[in-house]
Amino acid sequence: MDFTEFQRREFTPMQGFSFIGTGELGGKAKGLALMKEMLDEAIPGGEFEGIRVDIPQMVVLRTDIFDKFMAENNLYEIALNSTDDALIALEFQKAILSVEIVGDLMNLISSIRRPLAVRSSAMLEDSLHEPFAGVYESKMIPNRSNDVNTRFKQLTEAIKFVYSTLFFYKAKQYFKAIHKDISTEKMAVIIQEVVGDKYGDYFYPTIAGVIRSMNFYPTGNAEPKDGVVQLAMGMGKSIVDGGKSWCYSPRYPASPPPYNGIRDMLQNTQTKFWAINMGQILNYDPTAETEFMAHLEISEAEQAGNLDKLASTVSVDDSVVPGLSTEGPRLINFAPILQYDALPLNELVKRILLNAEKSMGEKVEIEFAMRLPNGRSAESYLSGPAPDPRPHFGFLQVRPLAVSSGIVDIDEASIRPEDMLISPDRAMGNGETDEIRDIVYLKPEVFNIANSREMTKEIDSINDSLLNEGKPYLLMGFGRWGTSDEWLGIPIVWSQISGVKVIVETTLPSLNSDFSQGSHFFHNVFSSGVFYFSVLNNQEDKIDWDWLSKQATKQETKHVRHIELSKPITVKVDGRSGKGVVLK
Amino acid sequence: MATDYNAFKMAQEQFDKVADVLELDEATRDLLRNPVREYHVSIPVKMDDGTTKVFRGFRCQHNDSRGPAKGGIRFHPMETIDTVRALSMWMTWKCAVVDIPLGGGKGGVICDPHNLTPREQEQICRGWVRQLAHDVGPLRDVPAPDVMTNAQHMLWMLDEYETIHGAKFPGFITGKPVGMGGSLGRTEATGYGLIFTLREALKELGIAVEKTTAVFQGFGNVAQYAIRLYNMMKGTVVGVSCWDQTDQTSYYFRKTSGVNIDELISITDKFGGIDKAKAKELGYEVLPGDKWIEEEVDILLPCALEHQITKDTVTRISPKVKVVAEGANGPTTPEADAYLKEHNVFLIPDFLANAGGVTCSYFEQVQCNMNYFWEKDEVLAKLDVKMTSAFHEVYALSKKRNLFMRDSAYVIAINRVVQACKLRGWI
Repeated sequence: MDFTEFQRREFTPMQGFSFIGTGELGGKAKGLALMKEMLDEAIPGGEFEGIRVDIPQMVVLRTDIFDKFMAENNLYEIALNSTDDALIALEFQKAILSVEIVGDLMNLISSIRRPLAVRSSAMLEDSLHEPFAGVYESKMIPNRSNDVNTRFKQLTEAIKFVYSTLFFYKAKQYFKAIHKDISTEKMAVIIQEVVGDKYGDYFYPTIAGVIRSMNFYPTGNAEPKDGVVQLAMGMGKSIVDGGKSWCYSPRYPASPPPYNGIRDMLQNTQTKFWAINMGQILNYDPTAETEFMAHLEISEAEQAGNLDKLASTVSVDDSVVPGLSTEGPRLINFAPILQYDALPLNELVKRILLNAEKSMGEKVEIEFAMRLPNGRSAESYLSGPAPDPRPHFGFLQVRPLAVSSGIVDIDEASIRPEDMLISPDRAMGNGETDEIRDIVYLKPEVFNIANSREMTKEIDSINDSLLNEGKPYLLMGFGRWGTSDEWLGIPIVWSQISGVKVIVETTLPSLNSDFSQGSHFFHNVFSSGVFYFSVLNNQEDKIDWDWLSKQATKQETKHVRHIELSKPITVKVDGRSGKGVVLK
Repeated sequence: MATDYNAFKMAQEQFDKVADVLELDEATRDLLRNPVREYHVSIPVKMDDGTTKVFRGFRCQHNDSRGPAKGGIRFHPMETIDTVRALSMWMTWKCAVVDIPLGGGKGGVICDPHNLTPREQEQICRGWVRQLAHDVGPLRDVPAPDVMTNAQHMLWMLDEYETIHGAKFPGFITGKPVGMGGSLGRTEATGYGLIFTLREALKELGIAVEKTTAVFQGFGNVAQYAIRLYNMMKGTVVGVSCWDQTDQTSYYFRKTSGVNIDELISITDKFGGIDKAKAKELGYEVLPGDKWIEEEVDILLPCALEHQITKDTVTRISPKVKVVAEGANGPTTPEADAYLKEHNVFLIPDFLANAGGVTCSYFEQVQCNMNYFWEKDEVLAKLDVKMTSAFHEVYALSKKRNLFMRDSAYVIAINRVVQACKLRGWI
């Protein structure tokens, strides 16, 4: 599908895909254009069994606008040389957008009063070999004020903020890891309607979701090729930040993910959700991604009537009763939809996944948002056409997943026990490497989960030096890597380990939490070809700690030890079987 | 000014022509042919040499039915009340055509700042305000810089006004420096506004701006920012004509591959004259100043003086020219207008094309009255929207009633003022 040039006088609020400026559209926008064609074919008439399906309307600011913004405001010096994200963000806020486009933006914002998402669409972003998931920030704006100037200011500040995130620390680290020059990158920006409804002072979709062609953690009967879906109540930030969500296989939608009983399930499913705050904003901070976001209790959604199809109730006898008919703690497990077909969401997901893969010719990752109108939103649409009473599936993003085509066979019988360094229970990725001489691991003897934040800093520092030396490494630690809950594992972000080649997460008697499920983190792991091993550390011979402790220490901090080996280790993973091995 | 040409007579004739189109009654014509108020003041100044000199000053408020009068203050030795009257009338139409809630005003003092010390100029400024302090103000009449007056003059005037009234009134006067009540974007506003209207005209004509060539007469503030924005839109400027203070004549600097605005500014003196020798070194042809009008380009942008496209010069315009966008006030005479119309040259009339300045002055006043100042991109966004809307209203009427763009703009502007007068019950 072609984008058309933004025309002020012919423009009605957010109709079609249009662009402002010249230059590139960026990876994300191009991907969506392709998906528009796919949806037109796969979902004729834009409706699937009563569900409206489309890509929310959007305007793309092409890359020349970014170029002019950078050049006219002399931003490259600070952008490339400063390591202080706050300072970069502030300088970008002080800069002005090109006179060529501000009139168009004023016109755009004058004609629409719905919440908008301002997202990056950089040139390298979402391309096959550089996934870039979560490297840049997006910003949601309520676009609610009666005063068009306030709305214009919110929009321009959001654009400047998104531009600035190209030069944030984590982006720089990422570029370093993929050996690309950040100064040559250009960013387009997508301004897109947010799918959702307004309830009280908050605007949010009923469901946000991420669909992946490959299941990194298949459980039960599910296989990697069945794919995986993550669902969350409210804005998708819950999922992309690695927060709590509901994970299922589209082949077995009724099968829950593995939880250790009801308590575990209640603790590890969603209790809060993200929404856009349409009410009074007390803290003005254009450099904060969450300036207009609110993190709300699930009870807020229940009061608005939005849990009916999403929740079950845990009864006094610890049984899970779908729906809200009884009193008790609510469990966001989407049972009415996934187990009782209250909505043909899974059928829609399967159709979209199949066609998106076909269209892209690759394994894919898709983000979507869905509104389930319940008649209780007083102001679903602040302007424009009357609210559509149908459920609405908004296709937000697509990116390809890189899958290695190499096939590795692991003949366990031929491996001598003394050669084995790590024998994982589960391995992800596919392929073989013998270029790793560096191993960075959390010292088991001093490990205390209370210090997990401190550990991230120590790892970040070692990662930085290894990156500078261009040395890939094996990283091993306890608990969930990349969790946002510092009590469940190491709350590290990808940029802090961006030079890693092999990640091992294991357990300790004191920390026996599930392995990490952070979607953003794993997208990078997967697409960057990082091998990911999970080791239930309940047997002595799974990890040879003794051998590790005898190797020469290159660097040691309070919680982390970095050893440098005289000869490289060998790492093998058979992606088809999920088996892997690390040999000394 | 004291020439055979009488600006006020011309302004009245232009008005009469549109009054006929609008079929205005006699009372309405009588009201709008003349300023509703005009002030003649004497300003005694103790000169630096100890003598006292009395300067004559004016302020005309042509019409304030749509809001406080708005217009500059000129310091010029040849100033006349008729020039001030005409200019105040044109300000009424200019504010009305871009639909800002202001009326038309203009002021002046007969003096030559070249021959006055800063202290003497300050005394004239303060004297002018002392005489008119109760007849001007943010809610009555808002002055601004004009010929040979600048931000410093405005600040002296503001200071005197605030002293007399015993309070702060930053909205009394516009054209103040940024940080002293001035608006960001004011410097660029007229030039950018000119190109906003040109951009819309080209869209309507189905011409891609990046395929166009243009020539500018004048290389002052308006032309410089207009060239900058036109270049950003990938249009090519092939020549610039400008005044040379030393030689007391103008020259036309041509580079068919496209002039480089930064390069030219770097060899421009404080009077806006371009260094001929350096220009030649940089590959520019240096030609007689009036050659600009003959250039084979798509767009002519007269941004210097009035009366440049006349019945004598208009025939020298190349048949290739498709658009004339008037950055200057009154660069085209009525006879030349007729010729352009006959030859299907699209005209963006002065009081629409160069209204970016007064529009931004209006923004400055709004910001001052709120005592809250906008970011530059916010100012320029509003300017773009205002100028674009104004252009399309004028264009739509010109198509609907088959009017020349200048006539269409006048019809819209005068009609708005007439309606305001009627609604107030004046006529």
